[in-house]
Amino acid sequence: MKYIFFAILFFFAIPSFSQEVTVVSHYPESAFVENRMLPFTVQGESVQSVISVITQGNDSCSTMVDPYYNTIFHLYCREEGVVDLAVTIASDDLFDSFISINNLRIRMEAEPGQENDEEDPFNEDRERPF
Amino acid sequence: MNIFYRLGLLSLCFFLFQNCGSFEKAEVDNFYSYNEPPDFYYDLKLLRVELDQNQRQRYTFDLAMSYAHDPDQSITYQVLFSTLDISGVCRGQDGTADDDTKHVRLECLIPVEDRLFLQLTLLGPRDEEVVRQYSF
Repeated sequence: MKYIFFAILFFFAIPSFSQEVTVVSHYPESAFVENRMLPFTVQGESVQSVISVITQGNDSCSTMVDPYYNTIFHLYCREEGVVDLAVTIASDDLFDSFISINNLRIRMEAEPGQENDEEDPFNEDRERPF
Repeated sequence: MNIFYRLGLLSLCFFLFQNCGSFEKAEVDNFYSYNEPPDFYYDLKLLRVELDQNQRQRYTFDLAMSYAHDPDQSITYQVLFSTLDISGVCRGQDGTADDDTKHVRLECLIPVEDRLFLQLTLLGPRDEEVVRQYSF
């Protein structure tokens, strides 16, 4: 009887935790394009950090936990397509939490801007335009 | 020495040291571009450059931005355009980035074929500021 009681507690505890955890995208969905780093924040009172993020459905996609903010992770896809994410989150609670985000659509756009970090145009012997 | 003993010793060495090779370096996508804890996440893309019948160049940009510390928080942005010779060659754009407006399109039509410079300024709710300059 005691074990049944704990089992019930266990199964009630999991959904109560998962209801408190949300994943919020920093960009609106219209900005979900290929070759763009897409940040997501995991919010929740008991959230400690993102442990891992696994992608499925689009082989061109990669993920990483932000090296400076451990509740933020990033998705980066080199090609358009639909991708699913499985996020494992460490929390103050007894168990880690697991959240799946399905059917994120990454769309195609033109080539990324020809930003040139190495060649600083403002180092030229001409007046800065700004 | 017995040949079987030698073979056994060789086999033992083979099995003992087969995993001692250098580990292959994990392939990590290097798409993270911030060298210090960022106050903002932002990404500017040049979508296209079109030439109209008057040989003017129309630049179209795609900009996504957000406050790193809180995605629900709005930020202020300002975009200025310039060529090397003409400051403010196009009308600048500024506004508040909040929810759907954290993704905007920008256009600049320059009268002559020239390099275009763009300055992006982001302001956060706690007076954080980042100024980034691009050339195209």
